[in-house]
This record gives sequence, C-alpha cells and structure tokens, in this order.
Amino acid sequence: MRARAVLVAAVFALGCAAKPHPVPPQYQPVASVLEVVATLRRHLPDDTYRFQPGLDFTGRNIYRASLIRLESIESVHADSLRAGNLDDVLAYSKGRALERLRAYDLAAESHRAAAERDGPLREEARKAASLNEGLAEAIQLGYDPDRPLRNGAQPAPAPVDANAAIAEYDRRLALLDALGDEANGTFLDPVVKEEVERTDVTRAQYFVARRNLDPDGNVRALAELQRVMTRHRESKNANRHMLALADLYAAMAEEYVMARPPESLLFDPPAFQELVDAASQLYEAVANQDGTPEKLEAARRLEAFLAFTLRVDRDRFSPQ
Amino acid sequence: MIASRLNSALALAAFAAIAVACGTPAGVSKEAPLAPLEGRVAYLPDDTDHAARALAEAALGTDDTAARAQLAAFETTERLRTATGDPPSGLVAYGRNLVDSMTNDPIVYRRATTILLEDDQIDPALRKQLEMEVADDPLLLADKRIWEGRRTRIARDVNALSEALGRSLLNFIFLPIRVAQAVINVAVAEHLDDPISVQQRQALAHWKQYVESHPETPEAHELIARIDDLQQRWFDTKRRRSVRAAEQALDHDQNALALLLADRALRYAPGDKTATRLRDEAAARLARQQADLEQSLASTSGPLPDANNFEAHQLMVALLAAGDVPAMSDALLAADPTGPLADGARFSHANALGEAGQESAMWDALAELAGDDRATHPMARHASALVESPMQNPWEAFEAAEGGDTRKAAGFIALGPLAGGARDRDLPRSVEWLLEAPTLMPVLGGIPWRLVQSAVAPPEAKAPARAAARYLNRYPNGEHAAVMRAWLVEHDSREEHWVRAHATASEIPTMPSDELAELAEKAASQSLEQAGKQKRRDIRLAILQSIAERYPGTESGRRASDALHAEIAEATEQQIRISRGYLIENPVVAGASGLGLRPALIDGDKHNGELHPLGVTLIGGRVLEIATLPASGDEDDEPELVRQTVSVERLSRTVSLLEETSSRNALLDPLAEQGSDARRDFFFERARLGVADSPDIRPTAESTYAFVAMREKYNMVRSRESILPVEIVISGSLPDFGLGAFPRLRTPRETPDAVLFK
Repeated sequence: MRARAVLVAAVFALGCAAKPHPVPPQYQPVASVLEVVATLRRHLPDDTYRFQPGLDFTGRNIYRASLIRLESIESVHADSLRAGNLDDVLAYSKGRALERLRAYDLAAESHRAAAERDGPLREEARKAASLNEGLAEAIQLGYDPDRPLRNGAQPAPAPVDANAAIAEYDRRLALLDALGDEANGTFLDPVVKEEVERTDVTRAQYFVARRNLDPDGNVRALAELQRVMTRHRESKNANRHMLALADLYAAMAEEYVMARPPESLLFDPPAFQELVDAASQLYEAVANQDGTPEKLEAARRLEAFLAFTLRVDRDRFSPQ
Repeated sequence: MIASRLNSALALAAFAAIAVACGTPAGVSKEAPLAPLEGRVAYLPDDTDHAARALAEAALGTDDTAARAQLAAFETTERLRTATGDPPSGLVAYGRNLVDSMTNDPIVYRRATTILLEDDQIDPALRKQLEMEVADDPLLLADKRIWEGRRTRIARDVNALSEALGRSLLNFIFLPIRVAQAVINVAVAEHLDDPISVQQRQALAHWKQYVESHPETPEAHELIARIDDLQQRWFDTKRRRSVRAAEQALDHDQNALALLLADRALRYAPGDKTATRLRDEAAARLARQQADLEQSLASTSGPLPDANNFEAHQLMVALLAAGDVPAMSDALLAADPTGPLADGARFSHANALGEAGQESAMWDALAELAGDDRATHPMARHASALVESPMQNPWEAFEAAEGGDTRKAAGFIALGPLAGGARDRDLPRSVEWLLEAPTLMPVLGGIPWRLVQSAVAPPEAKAPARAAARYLNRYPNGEHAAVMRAWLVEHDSREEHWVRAHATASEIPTMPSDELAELAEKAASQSLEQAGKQKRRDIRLAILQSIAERYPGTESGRRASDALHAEIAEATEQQIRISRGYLIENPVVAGASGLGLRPALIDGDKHNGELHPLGVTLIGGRVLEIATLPASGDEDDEPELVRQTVSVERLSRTVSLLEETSSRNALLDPLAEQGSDARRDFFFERARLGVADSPDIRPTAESTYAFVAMREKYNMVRSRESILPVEIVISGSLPDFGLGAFPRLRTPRETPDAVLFK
C-alpha cells in the first residue's frame, strides 16, 4: 500500500516537474566539424574592412560563433579526436577565426600548431602564423589606452610630446604597410586594412583627448578626424568616422557656449555658426544614409544638437 | 503773318521739347545719391531733460523712495511744460514704468503695469510691450493653456459630428452611417487621449515655476493640490505609453525592448499588473532565447561523424588550403550520399561554385539546401542564413524588395488606408476591425481613384534601389551587375536623381554617348540649382567648382564655371539690402537722421532720378551700394549701381534706426516682424561700435538679409487670422461621393514652446 502511494507520488511529482524547454531544430547543437569549417570558410574571403562581418543563423558574429563551436567540439569529443586526424584542420580553423577577432597572438599559436602537421595546410599555416605574429607586434606600438595589456604589463602613460606619439604611430603604420604587401591576396588582407584604420583612429583619438592641452589642440584634433574620414571612405566604419567628427564639432560648439556665453561680448556669432554648420552637415549626411543603423543615431544626435542651439539667443545664432 | 510764324516756331519748339521729354523717360541723376550728413547742432537741455536725467539716475540706484520722488518731480515738470503750451514729452509713462521696474517681485511689477496701462496717453509701442509683460504671468498662462486644451478637445469632437452631418446634406442615405462613424471615432479618440494633454503639461510647468518663485503666496498653497493631480496624470501617461509600446514590442518579438519598456512602466507605477505581466513575459521569452542560443553553440554528445572520415578531412583541407573543393565534396558525397556529412559537402560545393564566378548556380544550390528539414539537415540553417541575408545575397534582397513593393502597391489600390490592417486604436484587434467596417464601402469606392494615383505618381522604390546599390557595392563585376546598373539608371532617372543616374550610367561601357551626355547635362543642371539654394558662399563656390570640373562639356557646367568666376569677382563681405519699398514705408530710415538719401530718389518722379526697387545694400565695411533706375526707367532692367563709402557716424545712425524702426513696427503689427538673423545683427553691432571697417570675410559672417516693405512681403492683401471662432468648410470626397458644407470650430494654435512638451 505504502509502495503504491510512493509510486503514485513519484509519478505525480514527475508529471508536475517543469518540462524542459524543447530546443527548436534551428538551434540544435552542431553535429560535425565539417559543419563549422564549411561555414567559417564561406566567410574567410569576406572583405571585413569594407563590409560588416557575416552573421551566423543566430545573428552572432560568424568568426566568434565558429570559434566557440570548434572549442565545444574539442571539449565534448576529446576522445574521438584523440587520434589527431583533424588536428591540423581544427587548429588552422581556430587560427583563422581568432585573427578576425584581433587575437593575433593566439591565432599565431594556433597556426603554428597546424603547421606542425604534414600536409597541404602546413605552408598556409606557416605564412598565417608569420603574419599574425607581425600583426601582434604591430598593434603593441604607439599609445593606445584601449589595448588589452599583455601579461604583467603596466598601462603606458600618454606621451607628452605629440611628435613622439606620431613617430610611434608612423612606425606602426610602416610595419602594417609591410604586412599589407605580404598579406595581399590572402584572407588577412582586410584584417591588415582594419588595423591600419584602427591605428589612424587611435591616433586621432589621442589628439582629441589632448586637444584642451595644446594651443591649437582643437584644430589638430579636427584635422586628425578628417584624415581618418578621408583615408577610410571605403571602410564599413565610414559613417562612424563622420559621426565622430560631427560629435567633436558639436562638443566644441557646446564648449564654446560654456566658455563664451552668447550674451557676452566675447561671443563671436560667425565662429559659433561655423561649428554648428559643420556638425549639422555631418550629422545630416549620415542621417541621409538609408539602411544603416548610424542613420538613426545621426538623426537623433542632430535633433539633440539642434535642441542645444535653442539655448543661444536668436540675435547671436539663427538657424539657416 | 509774323505772328503766325512765331506761333509756328513756338509750336515746333514745344513739340520738340515734348518729344525730347518723351524720348528720355527717366533722368539718371548726376548728383550723389546721398545728401551730406547733417551736423548735429549743440543742444541745450531743458527742464524736462534735467528732470528725466534725475529720474533715470535715481532709478538706477536702489532707493525706490528717492526714485518715486524724482518721478513726482518729473511729472510736475511735465505739467508745467504742457501748461506753457509746449507739446507733451511723451516720457511720463516711460518714467512710471522705469520706477515700477525697480521691484524684484514680478507680481508687484505686473500689478503696477496693469495700473499704468489704464493711462490712455501711452505710446502705442510701449503699450504693446507692457501688455506682453502683463500677459507673461505664469498663472494667467497656465489658465490659458488649460482653456486651450479643453477647447481643442471639444472642437475635435464637435467638428467630427458637424462634418458627418454637413457631408450628408445632399444625400441623406449615408447620414446614419456617417453619424455612427463619427460617434465611434470620437469615442476612440477619447479612449486614445493621454490622461494629460500637451496644454495641461504646459500649465503644469507654469504652475511649478510659480510655486518655486513665490512659495509663500496663497495662490501657491492652492496650486500644490493641482500640481500633484497633474503630475500624477503625467506619470500615468508615461506608464500608459510604456505599456503600450511594450505590448507592441512583444507582438513584434522584440523581447529585449519589451522588457526595457515594461521596466520603465513599473518605475512610474510600481506594482502595475499589466506592466508586471509584460515584464515577466518578456523576461521568460528572453531566457528561452538565451537558452536556445547557448544550445546552438554547443556540440552534440553523439558520435562525431568526421573524426575519422578520410574524405571529410580531405574536403576540409581543400576548403582551407585552396584545394579542389568540388572534387573533394563530390568524393565525400559519393562515399555516403545520405550520411550526416552529405549536406556539408553540398554546402561546400555550392560555395566553391560561387568563388568560381557561378553566382546563380551557387545561390540555387544554397536555396535548395535551405529548403531541407532543419531537424535532420543541420546545414539547412546555415544555407538559409546566407540566402536570406540582404548583405550576403543582395540580388535576392532586390527581387524580394521589388515583389514587396508590388504587393504593397496592390494592397494600397485594393484597400487604401486599410492595406496595413485595421488602424491601431489600443483595442482588441477584432474590435479594431469591427470599427473599420463602416469605412469598407468608401474604401472600395476609392479603388479607381487610387489606380489613377498609383499610375500617375507611383511611390519611390526605395528598398529595391538600396538593394541594387548594395549589390553593385559588393559585387561590382557580379553576374547581375549589368542588370542592376541599368535598373538603377532607370530608377534614378524616373525619380530625377540625375547626379546618381549619371554616375551609374558612366559605369556602363555600352551606354550610348548621347544618352550619357543628356544625363550629364541634367545632372549638372540639377547641381547648379542646388548651388543656387546654398546660402553659404564657400559651400556654394565649392559646389560650382565641382560642377564645372565634373561636367565640363555641358551647358550647365559652363554656366557653373561662369557663375564661379563672377561670384569670386563680385563677392562682397555683406549683402544686407534695404528695399525701396521699405525706405518709402519708413522715411525716417531714408531721411537725414539715417541714410540721408536724396528725397528726389524716392519721390516717385522718374525724371529726377529714382531708386530701383532693389534699394540700398550694405555690402560690408562702410560701403553702401545704391541701385537706381537705369536710363530706360524700366524697373525690370538692370539697375545703375553706385557705391559710396559713408562715415562711421552715418552707418551707425542708419543701422540703429533700422533696428529701432523694425522693432517698433513689429511691436505695433506682428506681421511687420523682420525675421531674426544673427549675422546681420553681428554686422550691425560692429557698425554701431564703429569697427565695421575691418572686413570680416568669414563665410559665416555674411548676411543676405533684406528689409522689405509690408507690401513686398504680403502683396496687396495681407492675410489676417479671423477673429470668429467658427469657419465654414466645403468638403468633397471622391471615394464615397460625399459633398457638403459644415461649420467647424477653430482650434487654438499651439504655442511655439509646445514642441518642448512632446
């Protein structure tokens, strides 16, 4: 009798237990290495300098998703893979995914591991390892506060001398140029271009950050952001570069009003108008780019910026 | 006989004189257009001046008793002045206002000003200004906004019913339907109304301002409860909006947004049941999504089919090391055509076709793979992601967008405003459709009209154009590149985007040269038009230069080049124009105290020289450009231009009088208001200070402002806003053949600051 009660209770408890959410077929775990490698390979020739990186079926970055899936396979199927038949493929693929995620050190390591195996991949892997080592070395040059620190390294202070900073950035660019020649025609070609762009942006950000310290700091910062815009018109980030320049003009306009209140005699309407015109035109240019997320950003920022100009009396600033 | 000869001679002489006079219709004056500046004679101040000075001196201090004493003294002087027969100075009201303004309490000031306004002798401009100051009372403004809010709401409801009745005057058959529809619409509008209107929010801001500045007044104590009530309604509005947006976000599967909005609603109304339900639902959905995503990154625990598969390894090496992928994938497929790796082989093969330039074959193969059952064919999801990606597959996106546009157009023709479904009225969907039922007949009746509308002015195909541009950007030499370019040229030509059309056409090697030349001409002409609209000189010049360089062989390109050179040669620092009409309407500006224009130039007599309608232009520094009628006397002909440098004093007097006169005109008649222009004001400021000599050549310092007469602005008839609260509207409707006339209540205009409350 008691056993029956226990059995009934157990069945009841099982029935009441929350059913696990069934995984839709779309989101089933990966079933083979080929599934990941074939998908990753589809996106290796993508020009990620000009176009946004591809997305997988869940909407994630394809390189990141592929790397995680490969690591999952390695971890779950460690026994099956112990024979080492796929070592070169796995290492090389991970290296290709890592280099698109800026982990050049790790990518070089993976490629070196792939090069240890005989076969057609060895030469490709050696070349990729060398290029990744070069990239890893290049991105350590120049002041870059956003750069992840290597083990044990301390954050470097910002260079006081602007010319010394430029020299360092130039060294980085020279190294990247050399790597660019070497990477031409390989999957790393767009990656090198991205690093060149990142160097230019970092250099501009350095001058934006120190613009209030130098007498001509604003002019220099503007020139640097314009340089980025001009040099990287083809980049997928071209709209972002325009937004950055517009933001600087907008910030300068706000600072101008703070430093020289519109009612004061120091306020120079044409100077203020120049800043407003420049910021508005750039925001408008981006806001006119249909089909880009930056369109919304630019439209809202323009609206916010124009709302700020309402603070200035109409006899000191009249919207055109 | 002699007499007769004399008469003949006189007649001849007279005829000759008349003929000469008729032959030269206008005289071009040889005299300088500006009279010499009149020197100011030494002025001996009288008692009124002394008393006014003493009053001003006292008012600038802090002792209002002393100031009132001086005001009393001034008023005595004024009485003595009028008693002796001198005209009133007109300064008494100004003096009283000056003393009234010494108080720091705006309430006291407004009360004093209200009393001052009872005086009939106040200068009209001062009266207007004082009336505005009295009206700038937060309590009055709040009451006014509350009243406007009520009136707007009542007008909306009454007008809806009035229109329903009025449009059925000629045909009573539809009367019950229209009235019922109007009643429903009013009920729905009331349902959709926020708990607080924009006007009430404006009132709330005024009340808050009043309570903050006068916390101790009895009115402030009374306002607290009203402020609390409106504030609560404002929070309720925010809650309601957030809940509604969260519901819509959930409907569109935007779960993260729904969660954010539901959380926001809960901040305004903690514990709100609907918001809590929405938040829980959104959170649960997000958790499920997250779990699904995590699963998709994991690996199956079953056997790994390619761990020891030779063909699979060979294929992967070929994929990664630029090997013979088609051969390797075929080998894998041949080894196990229905095995777990077969789809991987098909996927790899398809992509290899694409890399070999067989774009269509690749997408066909991927599309076939994408159609497989995802439960048994994992590669189907990867193929599907590629096929459906507008970035990866812009050709498919282009075709889909074109199809979408066609369906949209068909839907619009068939269902008009209901093409997108019943309008959202924050009601259950079935009820929303039920409310649309009365509109079905008129909607169907409008099909012929919408057919015509779509044929005459079809909507722009923006989405296909974006996809086409994206295709060319990604695959400039792709299989469909030629088709895309041809489509874009046609589309941009239809939309009259000539610059883009020409740029795309230039990339088509087979484009006939005459068509390309025609597009270049149109592109140059359109750019030239744009340059003309550009107000900033530097940008205008840059556009002109670009036109001249980009379209050198076109007529418009040559015109741009000419315009560029002319503008550089004739550029002036300023272009602030005072029209002849303005000078005639405001003779004080033209007269000896201002410009000092010779009276003959604006006396209407062309024979003694006359100002051209363009008038006088301040072109920078102390230089004026005076436009007079040419010898032909025709106002449409190019004027004779004379440049004259004036003294610092004359320039200073002129700009001061211009500002003073314009400001006074605007006070007396709002239609006379001259718009704001900071560049003009900046130049005037420099002119008044006597530093306009040093040119400011920055493009942002140039003003092209024109002071024009009321008649030039509004022609002969100035539109005045009716003071009647009701207007009669005659309305016709094609879709339901309705025609009628009905009275409509005017709704109060929103105040300029309403934008800050939306």
